[in-house]
Amino acid sequence: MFKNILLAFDGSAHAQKAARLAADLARQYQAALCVVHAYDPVPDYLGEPYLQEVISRRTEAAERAMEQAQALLGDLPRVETEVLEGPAAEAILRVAQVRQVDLIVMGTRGLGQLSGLLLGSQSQKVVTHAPCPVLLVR
Amino acid sequence: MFNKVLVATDFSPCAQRALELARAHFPQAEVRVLHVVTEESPFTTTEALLELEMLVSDAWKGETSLPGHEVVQGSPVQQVVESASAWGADLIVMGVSGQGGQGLGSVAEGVVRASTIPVLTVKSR
Repeated sequence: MFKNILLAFDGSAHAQKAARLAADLARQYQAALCVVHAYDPVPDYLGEPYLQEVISRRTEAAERAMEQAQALLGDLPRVETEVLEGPAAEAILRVAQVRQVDLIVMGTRGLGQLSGLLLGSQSQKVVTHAPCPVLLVR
Repeated sequence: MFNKVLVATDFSPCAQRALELARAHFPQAEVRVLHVVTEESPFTTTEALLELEMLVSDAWKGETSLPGHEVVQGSPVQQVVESASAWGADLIVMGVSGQGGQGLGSVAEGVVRASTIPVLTVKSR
């Protein structure tokens, strides 16, 4: 049975569907759920005060995404959140490994990707390198 | 949760893991196992069906009712997606690196792109 589920959440429509499904699975299996949100790396060539501004804008967006995720998940006994900087696939895979999750749930495409045609490159990377099964939702 | 789970197998080790995972994790669901015979297949449809029967009775050893299974001919991506929707599946389970292949596997990628229902991908260890 799945005991330790990771939900990758970027706020996209696919991720919203993935969140509902992950919540259902966590309830059914009484599993712990960890929500992971990754934000784009902040370019370090930015000087002050721009650096601080970019960082706070990114973290505010991450907080909003997490609030949205929590609202979609509803009541769950064990939910944790992780906000990481970096390419989404790397962040997801890092958390999956550290927490030894046994299932990753994610959308087939994230925000800002071409709709319709391609499997998102981040999703593809996760599927290829994940240490556990990956449930792709669209 | 998931009620009808379609497992697509190409008889590779990771397809075998997908089958075992479907059995272990979705005990309440009705499972159906599908193999697609292509022009490049080493098997005929009849041989594939025998292989599939063995696979299923092995995986569900000791159970009184075995999951349904079928062999179809055609393009794997199209057949998996069409069979899933014709049967009313709410989940597709499949391996991601096919026989001899590395990485995602073109069939798995095609199914993930084309399917409107969730797809659970399983890798071999």
